[in-house]
Amino acid sequence: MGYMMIRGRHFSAPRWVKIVCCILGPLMALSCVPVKPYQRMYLQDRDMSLEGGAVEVFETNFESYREGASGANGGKTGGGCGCN
Amino acid sequence: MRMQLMIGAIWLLCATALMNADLMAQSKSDSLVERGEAQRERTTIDFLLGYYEQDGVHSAVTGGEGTEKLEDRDLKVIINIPIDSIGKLILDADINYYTSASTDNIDTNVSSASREDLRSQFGFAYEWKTHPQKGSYSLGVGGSVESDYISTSFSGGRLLISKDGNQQFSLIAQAFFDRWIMIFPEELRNSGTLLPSTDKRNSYHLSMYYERNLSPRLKGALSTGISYQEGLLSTPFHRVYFAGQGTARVERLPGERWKFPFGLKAGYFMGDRLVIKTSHRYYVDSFGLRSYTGSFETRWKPNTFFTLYPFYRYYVQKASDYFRPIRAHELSSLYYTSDYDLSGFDSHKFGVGIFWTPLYGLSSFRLLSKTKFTQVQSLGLRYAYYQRGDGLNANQISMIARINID
Repeated sequence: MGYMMIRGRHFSAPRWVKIVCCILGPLMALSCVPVKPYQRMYLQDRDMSLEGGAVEVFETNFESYREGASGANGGKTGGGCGCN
Repeated sequence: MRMQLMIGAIWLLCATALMNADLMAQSKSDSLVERGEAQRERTTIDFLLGYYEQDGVHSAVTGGEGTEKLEDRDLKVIINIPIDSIGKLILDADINYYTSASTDNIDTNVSSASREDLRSQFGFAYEWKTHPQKGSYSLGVGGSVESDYISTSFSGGRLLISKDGNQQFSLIAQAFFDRWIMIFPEELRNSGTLLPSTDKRNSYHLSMYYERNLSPRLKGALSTGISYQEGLLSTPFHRVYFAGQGTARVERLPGERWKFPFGLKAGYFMGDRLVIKTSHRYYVDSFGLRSYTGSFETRWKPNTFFTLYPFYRYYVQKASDYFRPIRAHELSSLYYTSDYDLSGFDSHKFGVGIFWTPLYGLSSFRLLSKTKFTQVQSLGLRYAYYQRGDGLNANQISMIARINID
């Protein structure tokens, strides 16, 4: 698990990622009690949103410029270099 | 002049949205009547302002040694216009103006025109629901322009919500097509050294996000994706100095790059006043770069209308296979860079934010319409301090104001 080969290069996810995938993934998918609509008062609060708010968009852009790990779900992913 | 034109275009966009609010509301209510639905959405405009400044001593323009001082001012506008009960238009425009001491060193004419630049970006998307509670589709197109590149982008997305409303899954595909105007360091322009053979960069991204309510107070999310880039992945005006050599070459990197991120997020509502959120992300790519990001945020809500949130983020990355400091590369290397964004380092970011959203808004007024009210619904302010292990540090202030049009 977590192993792939691209153009002759080998990638293997670290052990902790495999453990997280194996344990938390199925837990999240299967072992939770459905929450009724009338129980969602706290979950629907604006501050419970797990996706970054619009006010964070500039910070996300600069992090993707100053750190090498942008791409896919990591913030700004294309259009210009930000190479200054 | 260009900046004035862009500001004019953004204001024109806002004015059009304000003037169309009446028409949109009319057609929307007709449509709602036809569909027998009472749901009503508003036109919203988000104004975002940002200021960023950084300083460091590892500029890639001067081969890994030299000032990285940069200041950036950003204005972004996002407009949501409901067309009817199922569809909405999302328009966004962004301009940022920056001054950069490092790009000023592309040529020997210091404090020349290369010291400042303007980047402008626009996007247009349409989103429509398949069913009021079951999810939506979206399609978008966009573009951006800077002095040394032009970029166009396309995107498509699908959001699925489970029948009981406890799970949601989203899939987003994006494609960016960039074309560079090749600007090389002044002394290398006619030197006969190895220069990039293409001026194109294409990027393709697929990202997946799964979120689930785990209990009445706890929710969690998993995210992953895949990204592929091809073409000119180096930067034409980055210099690289080699061991025992006095003259530089232009940075050279492989023509393909694959990226694989994996993330985990959770949020917990503790008591009636406190929200705790954490996220963890692992990343690996075909340049040999690996990274881990962990963040922690608490949100304190003294009342329903006000939120204060301190946050902390830790990031660590292993250097790319192609990175070496100045004068550490061998002439026999096929690929080489001295860009410290691809070096091994850790970084810390911490800061604080506030969000204020009174029940009836901050203020209401009539603008471009005698019958419709425009309401400033909420204000947010956020400050972050960033410190990178190689000495680079940065300050960032962001502000958001949301305006509703009834």
